[in-house]
Amino acid sequence: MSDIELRLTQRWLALEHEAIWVLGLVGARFPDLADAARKELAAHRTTRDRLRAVVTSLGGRPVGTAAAYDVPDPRDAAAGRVLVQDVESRIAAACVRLVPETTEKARDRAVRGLRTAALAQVRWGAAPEPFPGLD
Amino acid sequence: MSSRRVVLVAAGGTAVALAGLFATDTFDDALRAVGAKPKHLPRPEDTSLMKAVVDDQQRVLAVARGTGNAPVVDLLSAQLEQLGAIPGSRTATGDLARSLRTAAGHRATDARAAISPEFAQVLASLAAGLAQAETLA
Repeated sequence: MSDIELRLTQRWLALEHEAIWVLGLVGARFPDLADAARKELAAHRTTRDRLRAVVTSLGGRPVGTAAAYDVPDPRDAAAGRVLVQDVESRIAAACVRLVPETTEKARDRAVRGLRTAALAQVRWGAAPEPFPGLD
Repeated sequence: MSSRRVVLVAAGGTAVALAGLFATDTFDDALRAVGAKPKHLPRPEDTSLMKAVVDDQQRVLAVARGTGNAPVVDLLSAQLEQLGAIPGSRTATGDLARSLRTAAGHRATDARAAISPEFAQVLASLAAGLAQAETLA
């Protein structure tokens, strides 16, 4: 375990908090997206809880939720979808950063997290890309 | 985000061309012996893994061409090009969705086994890209 692993896991955890906030916003604002947002929320809450445990096991204090996040106000459902795509894209990038820094178990977690975020991007309307998480 | 260009180059975008030319550890030791700082080169384990990855990617591309799925052909071709390989033109029959799913699983496993940190990143990202591609099949 390393300080880098802890820092990158905290970054991923912070993004999970943001995803939960964004999905809550999008689900509440746009009825057509409510069901999809609810399903994704459950998955993100599970990941958040697991990452909190990981951070604690690494000797850190898990980052908490921000009161609000600096995201554009979604005017319609399409903009709401883009908001979710964006945060999933940043989660994918955080997972890619974590892949090389970690132990075998944590690398496995990062690889699975990357796949989950990449598939979520597509479910929310993003086009598939050759190398998700790498810009 | 991590820069794709930097990571791909570091991971050995040229690994295919370098295959068999260097036993990295030995080469590094020789450089150190003469007082030079070793430059990063693909490790032998990763070089052989890269060849296997490219071969498998070409196989899936042939299936995509055989099914006439242009979006998947484009995506797989882009992946190959960014890995430093030339996309093949052959066609094959097969279940494209299953081929993509299997390849994604193998690349995720490869990412766990890769020695070079950058190569592990590339393989993990490639696996995620193949999983996305399956949604087009």
